[in-house]
Amino acid sequence: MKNKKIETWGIFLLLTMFTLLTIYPAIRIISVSLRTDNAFQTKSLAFLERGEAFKDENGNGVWDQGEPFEDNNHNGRRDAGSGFKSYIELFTKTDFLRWAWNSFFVTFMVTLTGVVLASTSGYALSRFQFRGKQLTMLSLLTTQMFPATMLLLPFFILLSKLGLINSYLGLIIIYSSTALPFCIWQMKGYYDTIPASLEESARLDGCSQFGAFYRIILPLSSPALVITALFSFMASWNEYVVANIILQDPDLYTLPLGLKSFQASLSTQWGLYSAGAVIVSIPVTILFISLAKYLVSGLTMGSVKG
Amino acid sequence: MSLVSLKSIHKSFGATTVLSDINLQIRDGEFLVLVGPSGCGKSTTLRLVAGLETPTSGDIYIGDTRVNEMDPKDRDIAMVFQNYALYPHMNVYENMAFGLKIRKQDPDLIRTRVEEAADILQIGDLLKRKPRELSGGQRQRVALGRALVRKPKVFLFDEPLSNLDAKLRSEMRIEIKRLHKLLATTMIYVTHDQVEAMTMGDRIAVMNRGNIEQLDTPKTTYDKPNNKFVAGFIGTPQMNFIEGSVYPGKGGHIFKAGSFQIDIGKHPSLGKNERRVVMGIRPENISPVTEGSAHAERQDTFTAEVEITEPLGSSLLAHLVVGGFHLTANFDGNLDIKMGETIEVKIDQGKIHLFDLETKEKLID
Repeated sequence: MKNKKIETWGIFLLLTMFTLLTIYPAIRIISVSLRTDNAFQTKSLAFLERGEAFKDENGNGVWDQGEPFEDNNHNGRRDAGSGFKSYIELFTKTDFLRWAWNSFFVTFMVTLTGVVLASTSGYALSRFQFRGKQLTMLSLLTTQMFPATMLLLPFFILLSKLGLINSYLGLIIIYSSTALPFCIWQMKGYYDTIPASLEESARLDGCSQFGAFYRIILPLSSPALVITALFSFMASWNEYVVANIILQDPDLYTLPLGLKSFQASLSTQWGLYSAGAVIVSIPVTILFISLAKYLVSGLTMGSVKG
Repeated sequence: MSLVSLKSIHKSFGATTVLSDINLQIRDGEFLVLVGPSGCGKSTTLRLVAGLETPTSGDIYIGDTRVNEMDPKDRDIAMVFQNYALYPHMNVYENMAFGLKIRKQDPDLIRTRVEEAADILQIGDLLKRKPRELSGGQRQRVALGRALVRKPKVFLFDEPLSNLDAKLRSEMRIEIKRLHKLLATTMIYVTHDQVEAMTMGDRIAVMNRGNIEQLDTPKTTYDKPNNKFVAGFIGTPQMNFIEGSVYPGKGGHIFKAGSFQIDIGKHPSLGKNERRVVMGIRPENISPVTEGSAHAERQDTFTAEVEITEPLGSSLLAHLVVGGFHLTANFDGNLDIKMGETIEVKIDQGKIHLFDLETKEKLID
């Protein structure tokens, strides 16, 4: 009984520790995004820094938003506070909105391609017998063994020969092709758990082969489709390495490239950078939270009971 | 007129031959049962009719139309599956209406048909439920209903009752029979359960290893099996088999196996030479001889040791050892015998079946 209690507490402690470890960088980024540029290396441990309190003309107590200044020893200091200055600047003085649109467009196309191609080819691999089926499935799996960095050079050569450097199409092709193998296996695995008699029944009821897929199988596969969509989304929304070699025109930058451009060779605008990072992560967070129930059912998979 | 006919159908999956030379004419309005052990090709035969498989060679006709390449949806047939195959994301009403909706029928007609079918099957109060909220028996009724609303030319059943418990199974058996009487539509029914086959079919086709071994009424199949396989497959408890030989005796032929010997009467078809055969006798054709039995019945009896008894209430299964051979007998339930006891039994000579030892084909009628 006592051992059990110690065990529970032990697990609890361990989980808390890991949660804190995971959460710390996120909190830190939020904190930095609310400070002014140079506060990145501040020694203060406060989450939100306070400026000096003073009274304004009307006698109301306010926090001074403060200006950076140099102290007597010419060290960069600031006497004040946290605020949304970085956020405002991000939207008004940088190309952030343009990058966001670029990212959104690329991600949307990749997700759409991923869902359409994975749902159909996974179905073919699950339901039909054809020559080269095993080989197809194996080669799809093999592509997953190579790290993305290893593929950078071949990707670059391929796309430059096709004249797709500096184009969304090139980026969309690469993102889709890296996300697809996993998605296809995922969909195939899910279809395998749906009894074939459902489609057969639909075909006798009057559906064509495609109709049976579209009206019966696809609606039943929503958990797997959600995972596929999410995976494709993640594969492109946060991607930096490939985008970095394909996109050189700043007008085409996606969000990760845009954020990186805040890191100049001499100084980095940490405030802007962090504010951008926080905003970029918002859609991901919303998606994960709203799709959590599908994720759980998708990952435990396979219970279509008639 | 035959509504569905299969002509010289062969079907193989890769190197495996599943059906070889199947010829089958199913009459309009007939209830035909395909029965056989698993892997005998009965489900494949049904799926060929449904259009879910295409024959490797041979022709399939529905009415006068050759349907080999016709899509399942155009064949005007409905099928009930073993696992019900209800669409999990639709409620009962939508499940039943689906076929008509796809065929773009008038919504009023759909409603009438679904309600009609629901009435017949007594599932009117379940229409709003999802399949997962139904019991096995209810699901099977919905699956039947889905087939019913379409008013197809042919109903196909693929072991529809094998997922149900014994009680429900016998209920649904009657239900399906009642439906057949009501609709008078052609039904093809696949099962591995010979009780279902016997009780439901107008005719039954006993299948084994991709062949139809016998196609007859249940009664004929039971009384005059074509071969040892059919004899053994149809009937519970199973027919008893003894290997031995027949030779002509004074009054007729005699079957002999070890110390076991019995007159089987005159059978010109057996010829004049001794030949190796398998003798078959059904358990109910072995009867006990008691003190009260008539004198004639006390002739030509066998001494049997009662090894095990299985009282079933109305009847009593006795596992006997007669002349070194194990025989099962089906006695009246009131008979008072005990395990280990020795009794006298009589074997009904007129009900003896003989099969060739090699070909397993029947030798006498």
